[in-house]
Formats: sequence, structure tokens, C-alpha cells
Amino acid sequence: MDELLDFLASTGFSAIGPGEGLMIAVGLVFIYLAVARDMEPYELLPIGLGVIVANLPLTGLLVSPVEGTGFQESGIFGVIFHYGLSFWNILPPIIFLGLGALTDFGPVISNPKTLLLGAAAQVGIFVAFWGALATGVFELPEAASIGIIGGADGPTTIFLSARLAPELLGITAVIAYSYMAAVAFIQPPLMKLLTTKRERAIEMPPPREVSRLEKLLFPTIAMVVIILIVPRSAPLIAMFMIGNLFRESGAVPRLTSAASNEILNIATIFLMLTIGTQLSAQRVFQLDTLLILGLGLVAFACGTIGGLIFAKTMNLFLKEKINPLIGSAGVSAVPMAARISHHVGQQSNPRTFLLPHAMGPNVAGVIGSAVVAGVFISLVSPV
Amino acid sequence: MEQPDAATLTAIGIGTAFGVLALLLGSALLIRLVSWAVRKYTRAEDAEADAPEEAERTDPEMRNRARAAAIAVAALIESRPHLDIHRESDQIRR
Repeated sequence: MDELLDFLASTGFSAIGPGEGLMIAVGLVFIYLAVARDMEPYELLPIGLGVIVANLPLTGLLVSPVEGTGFQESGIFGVIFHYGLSFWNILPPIIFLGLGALTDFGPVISNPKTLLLGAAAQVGIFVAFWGALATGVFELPEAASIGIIGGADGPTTIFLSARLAPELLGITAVIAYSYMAAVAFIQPPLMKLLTTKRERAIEMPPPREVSRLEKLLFPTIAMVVIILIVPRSAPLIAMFMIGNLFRESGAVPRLTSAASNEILNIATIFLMLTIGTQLSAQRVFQLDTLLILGLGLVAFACGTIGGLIFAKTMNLFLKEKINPLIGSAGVSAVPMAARISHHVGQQSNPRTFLLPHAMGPNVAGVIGSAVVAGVFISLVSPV
Repeated sequence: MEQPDAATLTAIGIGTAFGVLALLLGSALLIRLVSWAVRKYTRAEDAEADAPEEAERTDPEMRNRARAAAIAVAALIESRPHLDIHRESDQIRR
């Protein structure tokens, strides 16, 4: 009988509480959104599964190699979190290798002034950064980790949070991916509010064809320039450009395929599952989480507004006007934000075809947020 | 390391983002010029390389003309048998 009672005490039922139950429900909501609503499924599905697994008690899955130093004491997600993120922080750069292999710099090279829109949309990062500081709840490194949500780039958010405020990693990553999934609801009202119908109807000529030489030179020069200016952005920028050079060289199709398929997919599985496991009930049910949720929304909105207003300002000086809707794509969220610019443009004028033009600021936004993350890492000490 | 002032951090962050992307803008324009120059140079080289091919293309034409001239001369000789260019006397006469 004692053995039976011991066994019952060792089951998860004895330790599960209402918080864990609620978090499992949250995990199920993520899975529902991914599967039934097709919202960022590659991120939200493993995150949802990670949330469920992490909130099942007594599993030991989250014990890190630092805590569990004995024989087989560490858990798989504790090990991946420790070596993949908090200690080595190698998973986000590996994801960037794959993203680089999937990226086409053609739209940026054909219309390079759209690069500036990618910079303007980074305003959201700093608005959220100041907002976080203004609450008085967060220290400078935590405020930087919260601000980077406005970069609308999951791997960059994870990379910076893992470095500056690992305790916020799960929350900031999930909020970044959640808002990226919801960008179709956040951006269009702001785009319509800040532009006139006439501006939204501006037609842009098709981008010129870019030569192979340009596509090879641009990532090479960009890598050297950015890393010389912000060396701490190198893990992200170098991997991104290396992946892109694999692609553009045309000489290594197997490496390009491996980077953009197998490696990216494997890294995504481990990264997203591990991010999900960081969302334990104790971490989530706090005032901080609600604040970060609000600040993340502010960051996305301000990034969108920054891009739109900058595009309108550029039009004051340009002979050949650009459609200001492409400015909102500067927040990254590749390629959703670019698609939204295109769709909103087509609602005003079915003859506008903004997708290739919006991909320019979209890719520039990825570079811009990685640069800002590099600046934060260079100047801010971790918590 | 001492934490920086938030305002300074913001100024450096935004300034660097704009500065880097403006530099990339300049680089893209420069790359465009280089690509244009390289294309122009390679086109000129291709044109030069094409030149002998052009000559080769006219060669058969010249050959055809020469053949036509030879046939015409042969036909003329056939039609006027008293004109034998191989005759010693004719050669001397010429």
C-alpha cells in the first residue's frame, strides 16, 4: 500500500496546480491558432507543444546542466536552452543562416532608397525601450530586450534577450512571434489612418532586373561594412550574408538547400520548443508579462508608423514618388508585412503591385533590427 | 561595464541603424556602377571576340564569289576554244 501511495505521490497529478492547468490551455490555444488559423504555424505549433510539456510537473525536462550536475540530471530542454541560447546563443545565428539562404536582395539593390525605410521602422524599438524604462519595473537590459520586440524579428529578439535578460526570453520571444502572426490585424488600420487614398493608390514601376554580379557584391560588402561598424552584430549578420552568398553564388546548391531547409528546420524545432518551455506558470502570471504584452504592441505600432511617416517624408523630396504603404514593411516580419503593404495598396488601386517594392524595406528591417541588437549588446551589460 | 544613459543609447542606436543603412544605400549605388562598367567592358570584349567570326562569316561569301568568277571564266573559255590560256604562244603574247 505504501508503494502505491509513493507511486501516486510521484505522478504529475500530485503536483499540478491551477497555474499549470491554465498554461496548458494557453499551449492548446497556440496549437489551435497554428493548425486551424495557419498563424505562424512553424513557430506557434512547437511553442504551444513546448508550453504544454513545460507545465507538466516533475518531468525534469527543464533542469539545466548548471543546476543538475549529477549523472543524467539535466533535462533535454534545459540542455538546449543552456547551450543553444543562454550560454552559447548559437541557435538564432543558425536560423539566420537559413534566412539568408532564403533572402533575395534584388528588390533592395534595384531600389536602394528603400533601405532607409528599414531604418525608420526601428523607431518602434526605442519607443518600447523608453516605455519599459518609464514603467520603473524594468532595468536597462530588460528594457532593451523588450524594445527589440519592435524589430519584429523573432531570432533577433531571442538573440538579444538570451544575452541581456534570459529570464525574459520566453515571454519576449512568444510576444514577438504572436504579434508577427497578428501583423495583418495591427498594421492595416494604421496604414489607412496615416495615408490618403491617393497616396495608397500610387503606382510604382516594376523594379529593374539586378545582375548576378550585383547580387554577389551586395551581401559581401554589406557584411564587411556592418560588421566593421557594429562587430557585436556579427553572429547574426555574418550568418545571414553567408547564407545569402551560398544562394547567390549558384555554385553550392546543396549547401543552399541544406541551410534553407534541413538546418533551418532543425534549428527551428529546437529553438521554438525550447522557447515554449520557458513559459512556465510561475514566469507568465506576473505583472511584467502584461506590461511586456502592451509594450510589444506599442513597439509594433510605432515601427509601422515610423516607416509610413518616413516614406511620406521621402516623397516630399523625390521626383518619382514611392507608395508610402511600403514603409510599414520596414518592421521586418518577413514576408507578412510586405504582403500586407501589397494587399492594402491593391484595395485602393488594383493596378498597384507593391510586393516586390515592399520586400526592399522588409529585408532592410531585418538588417536594421540586427544592427540595433548589436548596438545594445555592445553598450548594455547583461542583468 | 557601466550602463549607458538611455538617451545616449537611443541616439547611438537610431543613428547607427540609419548610418549603416545609408552606407549600404551608397554601396548599392556603387555596385550598380561597377556592374554597369563591367558589363560595358565585357560587351566591348565580346564585340572584339565577335569580329573574327564576322570575317569568317564573310569568308564563304568571298569563296562563293571566287567560285562564281572561276566558273564564269571556265564557261567563257569553253565557249571560245581558240582562247587557250595554257597555250605557250598565248602566254608569251600576254
